[in-house]
Amino acid sequence: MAYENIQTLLDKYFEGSSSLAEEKQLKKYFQEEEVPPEWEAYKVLFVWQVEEQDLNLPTGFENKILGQIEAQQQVGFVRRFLRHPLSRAAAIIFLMTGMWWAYQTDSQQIETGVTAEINWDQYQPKTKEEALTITRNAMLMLSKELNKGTARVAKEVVKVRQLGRVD
Amino acid sequence: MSLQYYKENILPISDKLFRFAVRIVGDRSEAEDIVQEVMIKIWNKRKDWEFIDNMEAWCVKMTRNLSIDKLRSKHRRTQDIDGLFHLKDAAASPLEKAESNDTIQHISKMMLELPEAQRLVMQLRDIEELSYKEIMEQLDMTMPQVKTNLFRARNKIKKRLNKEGNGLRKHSNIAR
Repeated sequence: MAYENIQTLLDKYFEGSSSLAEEKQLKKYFQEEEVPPEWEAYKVLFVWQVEEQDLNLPTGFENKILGQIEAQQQVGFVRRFLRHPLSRAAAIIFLMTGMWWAYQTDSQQIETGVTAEINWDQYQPKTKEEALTITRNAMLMLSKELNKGTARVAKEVVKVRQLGRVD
Repeated sequence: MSLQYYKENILPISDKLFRFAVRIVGDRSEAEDIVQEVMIKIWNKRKDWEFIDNMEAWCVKMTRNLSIDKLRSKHRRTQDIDGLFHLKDAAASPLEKAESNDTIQHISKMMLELPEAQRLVMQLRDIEELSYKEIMEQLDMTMPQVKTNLFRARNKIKKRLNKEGNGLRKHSNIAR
């Protein structure tokens, strides 16, 4: 590009009378070519302008904003719903019904008990530990029953002895 | 519907708003926070969108106001942002001048030292490449105000560049 032409454009630029197209020409000129020493200082300005045009927000910024908007919308729905007195009353009734139902279900389960009958004749233990536990419990039950028998006999013996003393 | 409009018309100008905020606060991280806040505010005012003639101008104004509020609240700058242009480098050594002159960042500092109106007009014209009419709308200025601010801004930068350029040449001649 001719020296005179650039000088004219520079003059117009600094007077504030250049068009956008002329300003683009200047930017292009100062990006691509080596410039005379008297224009060196201006080169920095036009290079800076072009570099500034590439200054952007970090990637992912738009998604961050959209995420915030989405979160806001969800909170907004609940707030809007609870703004009306009738909605608040409905929410309270709903909560109380839920709590009552949960309480009822729990107490029914406690009353009936969650038990299952096992047919011990056909039951097959799955592990050695389980077999050991079952056997130990069976022995304990047997020993309890035997103890009951011993206690009865002892009682009878005491009664017989008392009868003998009276006689 | 409004989310679709937001995605297509408002989110794409966030980079421009970011550059605009950087020009006011002079800090990228803070400018990002400002744009984030602006974008959420714009969304929250979606009921007003139908009454807005120029959405981009409205967004720029909002960014400008929030940036200035942040700047004022933090007292970042010792100089009033509406104050007059002031040459700060009177005490700078030739070495400092040489180092700073080599970097593009130095122009950013020069821009920050311009009065707010001049700085923003130059930003919108030279970086965003807007017409005078668009600048008028976005900054709420008249045409003569836009032209005067642009003229003054460019001339101050020119004087500063020439001054530093001459200083450097003299410095390099002495060194030889």
